[in-house]
Amino acid sequence: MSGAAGDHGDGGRDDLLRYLDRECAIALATQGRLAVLLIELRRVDRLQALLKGPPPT
Amino acid sequence: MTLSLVLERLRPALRPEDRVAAISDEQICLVLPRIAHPTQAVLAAVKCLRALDRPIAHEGGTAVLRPCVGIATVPEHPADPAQLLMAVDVARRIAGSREEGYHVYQSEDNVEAEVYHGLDIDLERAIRANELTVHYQPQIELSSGRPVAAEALLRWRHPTAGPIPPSTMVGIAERTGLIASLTFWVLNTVLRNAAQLRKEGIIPNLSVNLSTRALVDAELPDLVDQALRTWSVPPGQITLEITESSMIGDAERSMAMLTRLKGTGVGLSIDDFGTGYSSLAYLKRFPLDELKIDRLFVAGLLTDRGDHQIVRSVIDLSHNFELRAVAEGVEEPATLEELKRMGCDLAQGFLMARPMGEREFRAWWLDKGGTHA
Repeated sequence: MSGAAGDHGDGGRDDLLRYLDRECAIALATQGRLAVLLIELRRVDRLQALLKGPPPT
Repeated sequence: MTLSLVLERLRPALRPEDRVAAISDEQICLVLPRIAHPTQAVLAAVKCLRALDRPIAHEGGTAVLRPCVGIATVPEHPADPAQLLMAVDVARRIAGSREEGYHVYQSEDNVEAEVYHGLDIDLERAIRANELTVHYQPQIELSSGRPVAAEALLRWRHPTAGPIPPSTMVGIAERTGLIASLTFWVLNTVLRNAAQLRKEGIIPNLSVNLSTRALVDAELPDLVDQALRTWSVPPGQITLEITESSMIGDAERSMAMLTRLKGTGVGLSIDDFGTGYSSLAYLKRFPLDELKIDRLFVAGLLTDRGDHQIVRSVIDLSHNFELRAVAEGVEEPATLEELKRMGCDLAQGFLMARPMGEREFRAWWLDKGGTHA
């Protein structure tokens, strides 16, 4: 889990779960709100390789 | 490409209190505490997508990303951390097939994810291993009663999950970036079949469905052209079917894509016409050849006055724009007779034939006196 936005920590799933556990508890206790965003970085060049498709038979 | 370059891009889109965790080389989790409203999370997602919109230069070259973002909020969604991560992962999968590139988790989203979990990887394997098949459903010319065309329909029988619905298959392909590969596989297969049938003098017009996501691929017209040349099939023998919804997202881009596709010589058809929100102006501007009347209206043709009027209107509209009208889902002889009386050009449905494999289709076509050289 990294620090503030822009830090580049490796972040592990366990660290993330611990952090979320704490923040969820705070959000519920304070009637606040928390958002989680999961970004998938799909690279187009992988798709380009697949574009070749199966060879004509 | 390193994640640090991606995070550098994202930094301006985030607040100092937001937290970042790298889940893998291709996934980043953002935690946004103390937001006022769920729409604030959507705004953050949009900002992130915009930040990653431009290619990222790195030591190994330039990476072009097509990111997608899953969103979940507490207290609207599970406050248990593991469940929350599962929810946002489900939303992320769905976001991959959405034009806007993000999706906010809904409780009903879980169903599809549980049923089809794991199929993403299998589809890639199935495409590579040629495990998919194409079936053909004939279309009858109503004036002569003879088969003249057929719609190509993709089929996938999974080794353990059984038959996978085409909509699910396309959804998986769209969210995993496989749609271009899948589209090319279908085109390649249909054209190979067309070339084989031509050698035997069987010349049906063959329709291929294109998904919305396939239509935004700038390379699609080149792929179509390449496949036509590979199999030496006259482009006029092929029709590409698109849905109304895929046209109206960005009219100018759609117009440019359809014009390029039309430039390859293939025909263009609007599938499920009447279920979307097409502007009549599009019919005038877009280089179309055919409108397919949605099966829902055809099913109610004889029993619902409104459906009858819609079918009547679409047939007239088609002819006024010099397009063919094709009725889908014809299951009753009386419906077929009524469509013929109304001047509909072509019809397809279980009444005439169910979709069938290429070999069965060939025999059926010859038996019914279909278009023959």
